[in-house]
Amino acid sequence: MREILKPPILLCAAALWLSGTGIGGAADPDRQAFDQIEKGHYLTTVADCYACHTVPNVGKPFAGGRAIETPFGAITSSNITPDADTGIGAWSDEQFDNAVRRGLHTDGSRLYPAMPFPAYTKMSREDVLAIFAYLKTVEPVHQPVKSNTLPFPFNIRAALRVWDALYFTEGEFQPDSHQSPAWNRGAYLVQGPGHCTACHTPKTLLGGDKTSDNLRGLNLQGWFAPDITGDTKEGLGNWSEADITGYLKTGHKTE
Amino acid sequence: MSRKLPKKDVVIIGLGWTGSILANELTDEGLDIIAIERGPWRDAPTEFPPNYAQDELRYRIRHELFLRPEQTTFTFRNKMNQTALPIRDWGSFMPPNGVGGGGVHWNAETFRFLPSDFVLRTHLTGRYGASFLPEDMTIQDWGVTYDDLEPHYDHFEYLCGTSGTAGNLRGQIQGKHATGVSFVDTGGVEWEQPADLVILSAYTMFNVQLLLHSKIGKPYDPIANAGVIGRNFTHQTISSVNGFFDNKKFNFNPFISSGAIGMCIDEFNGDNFDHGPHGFVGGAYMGQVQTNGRPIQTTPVPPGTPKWGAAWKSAVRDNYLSSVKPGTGIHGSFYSYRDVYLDLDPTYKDRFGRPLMRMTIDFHDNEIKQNAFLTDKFAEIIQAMGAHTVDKQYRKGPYDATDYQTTHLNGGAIMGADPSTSAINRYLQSWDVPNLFVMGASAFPQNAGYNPTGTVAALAFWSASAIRGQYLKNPGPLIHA
Repeated sequence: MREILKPPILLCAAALWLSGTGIGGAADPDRQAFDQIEKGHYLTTVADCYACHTVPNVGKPFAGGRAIETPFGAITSSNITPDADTGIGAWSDEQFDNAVRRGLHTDGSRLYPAMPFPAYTKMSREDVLAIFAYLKTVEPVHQPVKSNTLPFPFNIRAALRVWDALYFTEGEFQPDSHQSPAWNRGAYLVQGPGHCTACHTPKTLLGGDKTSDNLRGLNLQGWFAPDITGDTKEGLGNWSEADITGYLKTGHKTE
Repeated sequence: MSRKLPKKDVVIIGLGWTGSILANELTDEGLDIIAIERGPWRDAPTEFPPNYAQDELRYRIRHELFLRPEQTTFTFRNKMNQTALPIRDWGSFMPPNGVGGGGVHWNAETFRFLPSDFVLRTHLTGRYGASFLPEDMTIQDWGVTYDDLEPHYDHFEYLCGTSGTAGNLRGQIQGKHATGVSFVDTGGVEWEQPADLVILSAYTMFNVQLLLHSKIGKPYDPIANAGVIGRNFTHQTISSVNGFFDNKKFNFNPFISSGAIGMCIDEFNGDNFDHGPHGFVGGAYMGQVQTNGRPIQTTPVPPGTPKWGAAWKSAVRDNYLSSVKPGTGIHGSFYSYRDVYLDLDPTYKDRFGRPLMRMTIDFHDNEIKQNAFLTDKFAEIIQAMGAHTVDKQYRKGPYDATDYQTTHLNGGAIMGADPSTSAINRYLQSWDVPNLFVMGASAFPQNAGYNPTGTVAALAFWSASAIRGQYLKNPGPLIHA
């Protein structure tokens, strides 16, 4: 354009969604529907996919490449933007569900449990597909990531078959009919998408959850994840609801 | 706080028919263009595969491909003294969503408006006298003529491969400045896209809504009869006549169908006939366009049949192949009135806290009379075809937001020659903000008895031609009022 016009007015557009492509499946919900994408946005936040799949401060959202430190070495998070070559753009519903809830890569090989699939397996397929729907709408980023940067012998993925047999129990969350809907909702969030166990449950030598000490706290790579059980001394037993929500929102406990 | 994107020459809001036409025309000028679309990307292999593109439950009943009312909706009322309530499920029209816009559910019924339609007020008052028109009817001339648009109609029809035979059953052939756009992505992040030229090419309702939210142009006030944004909002006046025939003699085979294969007559459209004796203006094309044999909603049964049970099933079976339920039927005009308009709702807000659009719309006597006359005419034709039972389904008031007519909502940001009664000039350029052009049927001062796409597209090419030939050389108002 030859001449730049000086601009007094900003045209405020409605909420306009930028979006990636989708492959429709006849049986599944319309993944391009607004409600599906909004639900996926919510669950993606709950599952905190961003934290591991984005390089802090400088990375494009969900483009991967962040080194996840583990006692066994570093694992680099994958690109989960809808780029067809280097992200999840060409994945099917089945492939995405398999990765999230079963710890399987698209080629059938096993994911390292730095990806908290032992927790995500508690999620429903509908919720996982909603996350998939949302991720399909974020900016696609072409960024190849080499995920397996572990030293020998941990770089042998086949060994994960044994790990899975020891520590991974596949299966959706089953609500407890003796408990209230709020309790069940909370249990689903804590055990499933929130994957609280990943940091807050003590680990065995091989990095599996010590299920007998569920959520009793852990020192992990220099970070202290406290006991978040109802224990009145070590845990949250004496915290009020406002204490917990305030802490989760601000990172500080109101005294 | 919005994040600013690199500046472009042109930003296009909404990527349906008109946004795509403008994008194509202006990239030919070498301009750097970005289009922003609220809905998803769509393409034929993934969205319209032949194995389920015809899925009635998915698309017609559950409204996939359309906007979700949870995302945004409109409020509706018939009369100015009523309180409007939000529409929570689509009925009388289907707002589009995604790349392709309303073109995604286009049947390809492509008409040119009549030359008299573009100079409607001048024509009708000249032929019948000013007192023939109802006092509150606010029809206007368009500021553009059929001759202006003719080459652009031609352009579009060649683009689409529009074809058919025009004829007669008896065998005789007849002759300020916008800076850009702000938007929110799926993650809730607000962005600003600066541009030199802004093309507003969303659906009618959203064009008007964005103008009102952006405070461009004076909002229409029906009491004072002043202001322009929201003025002359119109829809369509559709009715149908179902015909039931002897199933031993007739098999209409509804499986052989498509959006625009059929036969229509145009003798009773626009001012193609003398309205003098009838006491109304406007008209319709009418005919049998066989769009489908969908099992859920295409189950016509003669009047008096039980609504369910063995007798209903038996009637569906007996009539399925031997009835006509015209896809379009009587496709009538809807002229504009002082109390039919769009404005911002005083009560209901969207999830960003902005007022919803409020529709105030009802049928007036002129349209009801027009429809009764035309429906009776159409019934005569169905009867003459040999139907044993004819079921006339007149369009009656009040306007019902739950009963599908067409998605042809029009007006609200109309074109014209006078800035006090139109939002945009004859080139679809905003009178107030010369680097803003507003495409689409929101430009129609009133609706003719035709499908709008041909005219919408011709106007887009007409406008693109003015932008390319005049505006880009000398950016500023193309008309000095």
